Amino acid sequence: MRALVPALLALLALLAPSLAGAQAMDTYGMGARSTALGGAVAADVEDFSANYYNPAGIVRSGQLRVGAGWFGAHHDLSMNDVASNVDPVHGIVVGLNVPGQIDDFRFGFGLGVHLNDQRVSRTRSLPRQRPRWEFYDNRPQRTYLSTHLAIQPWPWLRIGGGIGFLSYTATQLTIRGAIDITSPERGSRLEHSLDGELITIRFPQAGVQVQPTDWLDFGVVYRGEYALSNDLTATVGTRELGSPDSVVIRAGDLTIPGYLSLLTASTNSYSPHQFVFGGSVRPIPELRLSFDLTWLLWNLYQSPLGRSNVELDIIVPPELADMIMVPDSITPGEPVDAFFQDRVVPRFGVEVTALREPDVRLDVRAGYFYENSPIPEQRGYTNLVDSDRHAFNLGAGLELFALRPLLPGSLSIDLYLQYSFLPERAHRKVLTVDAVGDYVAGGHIFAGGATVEARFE
Amino acid sequence: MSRRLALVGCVVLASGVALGCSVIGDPGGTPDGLPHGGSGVFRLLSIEETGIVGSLPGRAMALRGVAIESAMRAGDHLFYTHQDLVDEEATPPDDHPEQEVYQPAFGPREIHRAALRDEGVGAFDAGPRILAASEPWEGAAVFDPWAIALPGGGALLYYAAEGGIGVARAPSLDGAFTREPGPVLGPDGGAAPRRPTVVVGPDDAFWMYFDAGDGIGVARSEDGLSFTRVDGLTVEGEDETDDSGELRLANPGAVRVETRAGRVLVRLYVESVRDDGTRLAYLLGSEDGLAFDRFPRPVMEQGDVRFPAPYLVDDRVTFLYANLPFVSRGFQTRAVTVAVAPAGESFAPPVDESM
Repeated sequence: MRALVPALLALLALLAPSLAGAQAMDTYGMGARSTALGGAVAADVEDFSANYYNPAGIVRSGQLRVGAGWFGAHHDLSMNDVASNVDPVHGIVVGLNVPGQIDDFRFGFGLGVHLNDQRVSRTRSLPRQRPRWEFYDNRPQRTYLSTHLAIQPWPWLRIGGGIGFLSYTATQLTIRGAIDITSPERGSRLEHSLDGELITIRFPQAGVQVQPTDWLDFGVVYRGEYALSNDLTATVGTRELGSPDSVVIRAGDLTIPGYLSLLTASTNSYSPHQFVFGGSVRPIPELRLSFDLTWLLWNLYQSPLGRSNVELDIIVPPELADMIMVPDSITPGEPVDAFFQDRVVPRFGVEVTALREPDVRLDVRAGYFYENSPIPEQRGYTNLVDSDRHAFNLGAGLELFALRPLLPGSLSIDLYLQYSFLPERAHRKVLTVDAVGDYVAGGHIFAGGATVEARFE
Repeated sequence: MSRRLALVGCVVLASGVALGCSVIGDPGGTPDGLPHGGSGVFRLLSIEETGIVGSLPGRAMALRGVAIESAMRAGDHLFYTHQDLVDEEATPPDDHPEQEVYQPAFGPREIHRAALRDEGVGAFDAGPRILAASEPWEGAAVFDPWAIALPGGGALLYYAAEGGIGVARAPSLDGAFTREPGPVLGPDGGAAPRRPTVVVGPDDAFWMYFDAGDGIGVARSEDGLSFTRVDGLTVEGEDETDDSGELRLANPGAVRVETRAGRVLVRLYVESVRDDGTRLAYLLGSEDGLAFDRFPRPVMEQGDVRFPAPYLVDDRVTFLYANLPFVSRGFQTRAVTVAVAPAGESFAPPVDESM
């Protein structure tokens, strides 16, 4: 109990801002070893990928661990057998586990980073009805950066947690001046200003590892919900005539004041509450079996199809009333419910030690997970495309010991390949005159990566 | 020492691979290749796409001094109602409706068949007559052709005449058509049926939709020759752009669609006859051939669209042949045009950048 008090204080200290966001990790995993095991590592993860899979594992080994690597995924997804051209995702992964100890109380600090090499973050608002691969087209295009703290009050119990940060954009565009439609190049004078903000949000992540024996482990993880908004406000002119911010359209001697206000607000990316329950067993030293079950509360999803509002006010002179038609009103866009369902993801992992020598060890790994699609058949207006996913993983890891004085510890080199099969899924529209119509969607995802991790005694 | 060198080599190699791969970026793809029902909205093909130069965009066949009323495409053939200009001195009276063919200047309506042009997309060269009025029940003219290729071989040509709807049979779409005893569908206490359009429906029977004078009529047949009228055609759905009263739906053109999700649908393109004199093209769709949904907006922006006739290019692209106003030799006449959906689909020949 004496150890728990500073531990809880330390965890509370983590409520101060840090920076994190879990997107590519949710889909493709983090770290070559953990991904090769299908992500079934919540019970006993201890390398730098603990910063994503279970922060309690940061303190497990009691060693300073520094890892880096590369990861990439190629999407071969199609709708009606036509390639959807979903962007690939690739980038650098970096992690750090730093141990500490006060008397018998062991603690650790962790840092995990996934940095896309194409873009740090992408915000995309698509036309409401356009089909899009909801989980692969835009969501993985995020940077993951997290910090965690973990403690080990007793040898059989480890607790870890942290709070992540993500950002969303709020942009305001203002245009003022005059447009001469008879001589647009010479007579027009427009000024614009753009005000964009990256606004941060926070979400928590916490985990527990319980090790009743040296061959059996259990883990529980919670990852918090977050939703990234994408707000855009555009204003052209003002309703006040003569104001410096007004916009007028000139046609010869005629002057037509105009005003346009456009507001769009949507949820650009959403990640639900996640609960992970995991177990790992080592019946013999050379064999490790693991199983995770992840429950994702997708039923709370806020639809990416947000609201929009357009106000258009143009005072047309009587001379042009027959030529220029201004609509009385423009129907605002309302958010469309997505009706997602919860997802339960089983994960399996097998690790076999194929070679164990005093100065080298070789492990081979295999993993599998199945993600049922939380998205219902798209029978109405929306076209949020997804399919179930079967992910098969293979990997290997080479750990070198006895490296002193070059390295006072060991060095691991891990590789993995992941193949995901998304069986074709049919979407049949209720309305037989739907503009998009019925379609089938499916495909394959190929991913792979390598990491190098140094462990310091 | 060699072990250390090997170790350093491994680290350098792994780091190099990681860093090297990390700079392999690309600008990202574009969201093309998206599914589309191909049901509308349609864009008239350009002159570059049809290859018919010196004419209006979308014109599917260049004929001077000829009025073309209804037309439809089956396979690589266009079946159309043909009228030759026979009296160039005829002058329409002042009260003759604009955009209507002045019939006294033209000869009797007969049915011609055109073949696909070698150049361009969706356009045809004028073709020979394949059917003219000769039976007593037909009166003076035959018109509104609708041809289908039969699944087991052979072809049927449905057409309208004074006494109703008749049918002719041929070994193939490009063969010689021979009349079946007719009419196969006569008047039912009112106006004679016009503009037959026939598809093999979801139940694999022949479904004929026709202009009944006061709306769209339906008849069903097991063999394509003996039809029985069917009641119960319904249309649901609001018209979002309705700013004038719709008097009735007219002149349907049907197509059977087998979606990639395994469903069979009937799409019906119809004229919406308005009280302001316009005729707008609308889309109806049905799973059973009787209960139709209505697309809430016109599928062509033109205001005088007649006899819309769909042709499926593939499961994503549809051509819509339709009749638009056209002036030839000073006479108001009609021309057959071709439009495409999705509107973003382009058939323009690539630009030769070496020029």
